[in-house]
Amino acid sequence: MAANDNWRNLTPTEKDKVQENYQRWQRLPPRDKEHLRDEWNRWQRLPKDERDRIKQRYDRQRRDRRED
Amino acid sequence: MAHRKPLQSACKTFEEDLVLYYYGETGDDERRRVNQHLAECISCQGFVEDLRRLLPQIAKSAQMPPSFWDEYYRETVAKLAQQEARKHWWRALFAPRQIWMVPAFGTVAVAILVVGLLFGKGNLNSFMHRTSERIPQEILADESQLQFFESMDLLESLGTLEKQDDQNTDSTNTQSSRVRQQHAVA
Repeated sequence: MAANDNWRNLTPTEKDKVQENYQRWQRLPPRDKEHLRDEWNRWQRLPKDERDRIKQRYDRQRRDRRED
Repeated sequence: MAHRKPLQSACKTFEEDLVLYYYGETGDDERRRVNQHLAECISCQGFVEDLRRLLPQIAKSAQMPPSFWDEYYRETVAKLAQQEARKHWWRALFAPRQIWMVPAFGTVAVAILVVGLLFGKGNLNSFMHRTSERIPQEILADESQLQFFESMDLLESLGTLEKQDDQNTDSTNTQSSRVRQQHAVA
């Protein structure tokens, strides 16, 4: 199964993050869940270069927050 | 059968002195006085004779024969050995076999390892993951679900990130057009 393989390839930190997000997802109100699903669909429709750019920006901001 | 009295009775006034006399613990005057009495008193003579006859036997019986001590030693050693064996009964299982058991245990351990690797090779990785983690099936329902939960943080700030990206693109475009205009003027 592809999802299982992908899961196995994640680092322990990434796995923890996924589990944590899943727990958080379960507690979200339906409206927020719906919003996130919409954002996910929109994200997947974005052109690849734009996705890469946004991802890079997100990673950079996260790194900066960690360093602060 | 006639019973003999253990000790012939002596004169009461001399009884204690006669015992001391027998053991040679009287002074010279006392010894002389006892000797004088003994020469005249048959009962006291008999008493001293009985002391000479009986006391060595009593002293002898208090000393155990060597055979007794040999037996005593053997019994003590045997009892100690039994006690030791009860205390470390599990050692007795291994002690006589120690020499050959080391390679034997090693062989068994290697055999178990080989069998385990042969039969468990394919499943070892998945087994380790299965036992160490409890993954909700919702995450593993399909590849897209896993990616969704991986990107959840990013999705929450996607709008903001897009705005920042747009602003950045706009400012880059403005700078480029300014540069172009300056080139055109020049």
